[in-house]
Amino acid sequence: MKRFFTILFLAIIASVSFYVSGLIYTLPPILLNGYNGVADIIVKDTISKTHALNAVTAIVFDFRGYDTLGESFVLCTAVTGVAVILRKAVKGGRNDGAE
Amino acid sequence: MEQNRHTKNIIIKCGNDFLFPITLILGFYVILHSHLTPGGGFQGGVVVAAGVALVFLAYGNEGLKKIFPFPEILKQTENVGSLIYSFFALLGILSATNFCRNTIFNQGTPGDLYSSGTIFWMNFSVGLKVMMGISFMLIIMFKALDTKNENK
Repeated sequence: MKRFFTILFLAIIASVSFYVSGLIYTLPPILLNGYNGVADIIVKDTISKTHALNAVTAIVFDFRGYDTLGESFVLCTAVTGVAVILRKAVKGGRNDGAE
Repeated sequence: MEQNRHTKNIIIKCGNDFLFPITLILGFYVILHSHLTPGGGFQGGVVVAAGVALVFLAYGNEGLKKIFPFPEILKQTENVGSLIYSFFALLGILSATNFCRNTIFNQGTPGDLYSSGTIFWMNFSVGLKVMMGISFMLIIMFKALDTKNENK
């Protein structure tokens, strides 16, 4: 019975993946009438929109600034977790006074 | 192996004295020039925090305690960095556009050190934050390492 269900689910997954990979060929091309979405804006208008020569920094700190805010809060949380976990090990040792 | 941990090699000490200022200068350069050359706040902050690891390799926990007697100040400075980032992100709302909008981007010509408005300041704050956070984490981990060696 277990083997039957395994084969059944594998067959369903295989048929769905074949169907989706067949659908991909029917999609319209991404580059439609010379318009390439936000990548076009980032590549062509970086200097006029942000005055930054480094395009990667312009993306990370301007176009995706909210993402970077969350990333820096993740770092803050990680450091806080390390301090909480290692607090007793540091306090009980020879070099105390760091918590 | 046990003796090497307490008596440091003279080559490591001299190499640290040579490499420590270069590491700090390279890290601050990468932070401040991140909108002109490859790099950024995260990368420059981690390069500066590598200086703490260099000091530990050469002088051990005693040297770290001489340089940073109160490591809690590093954690507080990290939170100040995130406050600076939030302030420059809120500048967009204060000038009636959306959050994280670069509203003061037309200060200076492209290619100058001070140009690109909030990108420069956000890089500075993220660099400060990563530098202080990773340094604090390294100091705490090195101290925990030392007490584990002490117990054995």
